[in-house]
Amino acid sequence: MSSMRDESEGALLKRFALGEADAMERLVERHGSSVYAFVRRFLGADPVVEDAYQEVWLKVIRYANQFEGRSRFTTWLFQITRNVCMDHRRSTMRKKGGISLERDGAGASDGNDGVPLRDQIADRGASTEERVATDEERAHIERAIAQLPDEQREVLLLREKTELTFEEIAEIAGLSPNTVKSRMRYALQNLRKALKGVAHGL
Amino acid sequence: MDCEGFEALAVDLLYGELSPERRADALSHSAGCAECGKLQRELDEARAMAASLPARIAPPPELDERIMIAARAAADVRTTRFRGSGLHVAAAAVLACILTGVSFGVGVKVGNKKVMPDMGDGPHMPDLNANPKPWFTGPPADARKYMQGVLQLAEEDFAKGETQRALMEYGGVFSGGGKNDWTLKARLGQARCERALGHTAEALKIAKDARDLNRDWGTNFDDIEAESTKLIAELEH
Repeated sequence: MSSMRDESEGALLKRFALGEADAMERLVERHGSSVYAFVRRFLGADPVVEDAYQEVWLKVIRYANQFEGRSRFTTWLFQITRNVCMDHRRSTMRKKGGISLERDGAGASDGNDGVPLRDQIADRGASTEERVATDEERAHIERAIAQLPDEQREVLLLREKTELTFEEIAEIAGLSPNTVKSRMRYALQNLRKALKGVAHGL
Repeated sequence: MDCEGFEALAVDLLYGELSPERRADALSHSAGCAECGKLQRELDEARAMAASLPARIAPPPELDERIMIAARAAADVRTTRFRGSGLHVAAAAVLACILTGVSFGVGVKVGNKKVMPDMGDGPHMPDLNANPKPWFTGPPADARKYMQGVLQLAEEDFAKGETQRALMEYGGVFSGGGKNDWTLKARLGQARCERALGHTAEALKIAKDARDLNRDWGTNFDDIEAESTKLIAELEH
């Protein structure tokens, strides 16, 4: 048997489906923080972030034996993640009686007891090597991303923060690759507009 | 290539997904077109901004701990260790508690909350339809307290001669536990129940499992080692 560190995600999932709990621990270690980053950026600092994150993994646990390896594990995982997030957005929308899928003032005033977003992010273990932008610039960028419409933010985060291709994102979101790319263009243009004058030299 | 054509390919250009010929076409157009040159620069800048954020944000550790409790319970349900004894039902019930409790538990602050379920006169497994779910509304530490509470109940029931009920409770605790002494105590409890029910072979198998797990996990609890060795000797005799 190959060492656990090198074992593929598919093999780990298979071992978990056969009853080896440690295999799931490896998967959570490898992918937990990218799933959490997506959920957090997609849903904002809403209290449902932690619920949604756990729901993703409980679904992975429940459906581990149904993963057939026809798509990559990352595609499967982020399909679950994206669907859980969308369900939460829909349910929040229903509760608020709103009709828009877009976020309402999310990001800047995200209900996190006034803790600046950069501090929230820094607290969650971002490594220093990743700090290309200054903390302040990053906080602006996070806020601008939070204010993008859901369908643009989803595509931007999946393409930029996971290893997924446009084709895989199209599969996850049930769209054509061209639609995904056009959403990506709008997302980037809107981001650029929102950040005009910020983060020079990035 | 015209402006419309460039706009359609701008994202492919940005992510290096064009053939060398198409790429050369697109670049030659944007070099001579102020509007498309600007679009290309803006997309470049925006991408650099998005890329400057970390791809990973570590979740609070208690979330992963809770996920692992559910993963262990699910893994145990999937193994054959409960089959034939009806214990997979108990394990599945505990798993269901964890799975349903998790999404209700997060973010709910309950002062002086009751961690133990109200066992009352009903069946000893919690009512999964209850809402709010009193047995699992807090952090993972409370899940452990809950499991330890069930272990205590199992021991009381076993002492009272309620062997079948104790067997279910021990099974539930064992299925939901991690590598710790109370998980192993529950395993030994299962062995004692099986012996009391006259299932000597099953009892022996489970007692050996408790002893081996204590060694394999490297926990090496002296009391577990002593109790399992004694029980194995009695059963073999």
